[in-house]
Amino acid sequence: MNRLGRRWKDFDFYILFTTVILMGFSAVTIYSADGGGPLTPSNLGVRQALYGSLGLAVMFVVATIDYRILGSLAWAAYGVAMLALVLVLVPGVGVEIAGSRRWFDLGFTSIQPSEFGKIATLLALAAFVASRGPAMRELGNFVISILIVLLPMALVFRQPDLGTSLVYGVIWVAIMALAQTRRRYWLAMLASTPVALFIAWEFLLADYQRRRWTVFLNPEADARGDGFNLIQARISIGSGGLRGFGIEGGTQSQLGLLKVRESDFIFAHASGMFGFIGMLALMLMFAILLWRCLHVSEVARDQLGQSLAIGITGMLFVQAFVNIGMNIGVMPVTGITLPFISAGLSSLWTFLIAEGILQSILIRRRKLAFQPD
Amino acid sequence: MTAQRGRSARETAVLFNRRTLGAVLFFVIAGYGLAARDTITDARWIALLWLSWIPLLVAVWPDVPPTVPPLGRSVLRMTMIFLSILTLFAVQLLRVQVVMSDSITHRIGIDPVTGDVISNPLLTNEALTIPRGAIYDRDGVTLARTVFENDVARRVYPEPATGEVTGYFSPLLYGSSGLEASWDDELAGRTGGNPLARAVDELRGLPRRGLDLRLTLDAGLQRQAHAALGERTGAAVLLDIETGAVLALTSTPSFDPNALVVVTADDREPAQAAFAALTSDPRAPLVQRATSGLYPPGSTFKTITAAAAIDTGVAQPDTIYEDAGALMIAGHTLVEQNRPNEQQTLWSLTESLAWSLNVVFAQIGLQLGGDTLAQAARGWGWDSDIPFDLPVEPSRVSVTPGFLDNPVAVAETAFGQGELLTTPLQMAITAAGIGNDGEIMRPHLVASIAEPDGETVRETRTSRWRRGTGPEAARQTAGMMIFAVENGALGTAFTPGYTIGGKTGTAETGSGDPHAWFIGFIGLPGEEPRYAVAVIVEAGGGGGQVALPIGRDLLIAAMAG
Repeated sequence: MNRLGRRWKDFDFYILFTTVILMGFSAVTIYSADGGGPLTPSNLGVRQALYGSLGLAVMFVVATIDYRILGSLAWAAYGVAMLALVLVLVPGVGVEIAGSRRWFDLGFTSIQPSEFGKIATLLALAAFVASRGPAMRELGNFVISILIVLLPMALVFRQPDLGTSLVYGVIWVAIMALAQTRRRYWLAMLASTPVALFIAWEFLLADYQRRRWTVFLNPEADARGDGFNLIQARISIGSGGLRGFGIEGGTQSQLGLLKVRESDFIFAHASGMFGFIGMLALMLMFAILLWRCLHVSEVARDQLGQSLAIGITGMLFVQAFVNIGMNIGVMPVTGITLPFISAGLSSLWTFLIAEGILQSILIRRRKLAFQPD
Repeated sequence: MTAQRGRSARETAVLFNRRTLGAVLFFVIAGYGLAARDTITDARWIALLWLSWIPLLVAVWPDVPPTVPPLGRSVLRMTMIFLSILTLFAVQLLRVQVVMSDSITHRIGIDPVTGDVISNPLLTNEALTIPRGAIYDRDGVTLARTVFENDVARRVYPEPATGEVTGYFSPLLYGSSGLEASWDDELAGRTGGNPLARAVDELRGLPRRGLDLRLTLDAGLQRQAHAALGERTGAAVLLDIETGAVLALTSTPSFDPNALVVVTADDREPAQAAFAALTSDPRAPLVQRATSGLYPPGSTFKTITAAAAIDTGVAQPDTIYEDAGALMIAGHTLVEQNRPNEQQTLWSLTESLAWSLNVVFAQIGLQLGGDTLAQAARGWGWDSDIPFDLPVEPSRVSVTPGFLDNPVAVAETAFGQGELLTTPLQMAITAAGIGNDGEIMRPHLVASIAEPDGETVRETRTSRWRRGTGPEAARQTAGMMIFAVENGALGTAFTPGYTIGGKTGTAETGSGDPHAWFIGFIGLPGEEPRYAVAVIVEAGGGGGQVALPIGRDLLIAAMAG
C-alpha cells in the first residue's frame, strides 16, 4: 500500500459526514431564519452554504498538514491572534455592534478574531504542555499554562463577550485534564473557585451580565427585558411540537419576535421548524460526532496530538451544550454560537479548521504493534 | 478459581444494583417533573432536571477494566458525561415540545402593566395576510371565502343561514368560532396538504394558501330549517343514517358572521355594536344549540327505554302492561295524561310508545332498574364526548350523584324527565342509530379537505362510533316508531310514499312552557331508513303540534334531495 493511501484510510468519514449533515441542516435553518425567499446570496442561509463549501476545502487543507508542523507554528499563531484581539478593541478598527466590539469588517463579511483565537490559543497551550511533558508537574509551568489562556480571556472579556471568553477557560480545563500535573494544583484551583467566582461576580461582571446569568430561572420576571428572548425561544420550541412547522419556521420567528435566531438562538428556531423528532435527530448527530472526536485523543501518537484532540473536543461540545442548554432554558444565557449550525463565517471556519486538525492527528495516528508498517 | 468467580458474581450483583438504582431514580425524578407539567415552577423543574443527572451518571458510569490506560479511562468517562447531558436535554425537549407543547403554543399572556390580553401576534399577522381556505356546502355553494381589500384578507359569509356552523373569523377582535375555530389549522394551511408542495411553494416565494373545507351540509336544507323554526328559539339536526353525514345543523336565533369580522380599524366599532347586541340578547344567538344546548329529552327518551327493555329481554313489543290512569311509586302518585282511550287499561309496549304512556314506561324503568337504564343511555353516547367537527356538550344521565338510587327518579328517568339532559345532536344520532340496526355512525360535517386547485387532500372516512343497542332491539324499536306514525299519536307525520318513524316529546322544564321535541327517521317503504332528524323548539309546547311538522318536512325534503 502506498503511503498516501494508508494516510487517507485513517481519515474519519463519520466526522466528515456528520459535519456535512450538520452544515446542510444549518444552511436550511439559517435560510428559514432569514425569512426564506428566493435563493440569492443576500440570504444568510445561501451565504452560509457558500462559506461551508469553502470551509470544507480549508478543512481538507489543514488535514493534509502535519499537526506537528502546526504545533511548531503555534506561538506565531498565538502572537497574531493576540494582536488581532488587541486591535479589535481599538475604536475605528474593530466594528461595534450592539455595544460589543468583536469584529473586523472586511466589506463582504466580517471576521470575529475571538473565534480564530481559540484555535491559536489551543495550539499554543497544547504545544506548551507537550513540550514540557513531565515538567508540567512544576508549579511555574502550571502558572504559565494559566497565563497563556488568561490573556485572550481578558481581551475577549473586554469586548465584552463573556460567553466566548469562558470557552477559552474550557479549552484550558480540557487540555490540562490530560496533562501530567499534580493533583494538589487542581485541588487548589477547586478551592479558590468560590473566591474567583465571588470576585468575578462582584467586580468584573456588569449588571446586565449578572441578570442574564440568573434570568433563565424565571424569564417571566423580566418578560420585556432579559427574559424576552428566552420566552420567545420557549414558545418557539414548544409550538414546534412533535413535527414542527417546516421551512417557514415557528410563529415566533415569522414575525421576528425571536431575536438572533440565525446565530445564538438558532436551536430555538430550528425546534420550531423541525419539532421534537428533528431535534432528536440533530442531537443524535452531535452524539455521533462526539463519540468520534473523543476517540481521536485515544489514538493520537504523541502528547501534542492528545492535547490538541481533547482541547478541540472539549471546546466543541462544551460550546454546543452551553448553547443548546441556553436555548432550551436549562442553562444561563451566554452569547455562544452552536458549532456548525449558527450563522457566521468565523465560527464555522474555526470549527472546520479544528476538525481538520483532528483529521490530521488521525491520519498520523499511532499504529498498533502487530500492524505491518 | 471458585473464589474468583464468586467475587465476580458478587461484583456483577453490586453493579446491577448500582445501575438499576440509578436508572430507576433518574426515571422517577424526571418522570415526576414531566408529569407535574406546569404545577411546578420552571426554576424547580430545572433543579429537578439537573438533580436527575446524578442518578443518570451513576447508572451509566463506565466500569473500566484495569487494562485500559488512564487516557482511555478519561475518554470513556467524558463520553458518558457528555452523553448523559444530551439525554437531559432530550428530556427537556420532551417537556417543552411534547408534554407542554399545547399550553405553550396557546398561551395567552396578560400585560402586567396595562392588563391587556396578549395573544400570539404572529398568528394575527398570518390571519390578516394568507388566503384562508373556503368553506363549501355539499353542492359547492360557498359558505365562507376570503377576499382581499388593500392586501388585507377578509372573511366573507355569503350564506346567511349557516353562520352557526361556519362560525366567524375575526383576527383583530373576538377570534373565531364554529368550524373556523375547530378547523383553523387546515383552513390556514398549517396542517394537511402535501408538505413537500408547501416547501416548494415557499422556496418559490409563494404565500401559503389555506385548504378548502367541503361540508356534508346542505345550504338548502339549512335554510329550510331556519325558515321553519322562524322566530322561535330552537334547533334542528338532520343526518344521513348510513354515513353519519350532517345535512343540517340549525340553531335559532342565529347570527350574521359578517358583522363580527374585524380586520381593519374601521370594522371595530360596528362589530362591537353587533357583538354587544348578540351578547345582551337573552336568547343567546351565539350559542350553537344543536351541539351545546342541553335540554331534558322528554318522551323522546322512551325510545331508549323501549330498546333497552327489548334488548335485555324484559319486554317484547307485544308485552302487555297495565295503565289505568295512575301509578303509586314509593308513596308518590304518577298520573297518566296520554291515554287516547280512558276505558282501555291494558296496553302493549308498541301501543304504549305510540301513545307515550308515562305509567307504562315508569313500570319498565323499575323493571330495568336505575343501573341498567343508565347503562342503556350511555350505550347511545350519554356521558361521553361525541366525536364531531364542532365541540359537543356531553349528555347527562343524572346530575346529582346517587340520583338513580331512588325508584321515583328511575321511573321519571325512564319516561324522559328526571335529571336527564341532552343535546339535539345526541337525539339525532339516537334516531339514526335506531334506524341503522343499533349502530351509530360517527357524525361529521366535513366531507373532505381540498387544495385551492380542487385536488382532494383528505376525505372523511365513514366510521362506526358505537353500538346503541342490539340489532334486534333496534329493529323492533324502529318498527314501533313507524307504528306510532301510522297508527298512533304521530299521525300528522304520515306521508304517502314514505315510511316514517318517530317519537315526540313535551319536555317539562320545571318553569315556563315545556320544550317541544321530535325525533324521527325516513325511508322508502320496504327499504332501510335513510335520514334521521331531531328538532327542538324551546318553550314550544306540544312536540306533536310544533316540532313534528318541522322535522317531518326536513325528512321529506332530504328524500327529495
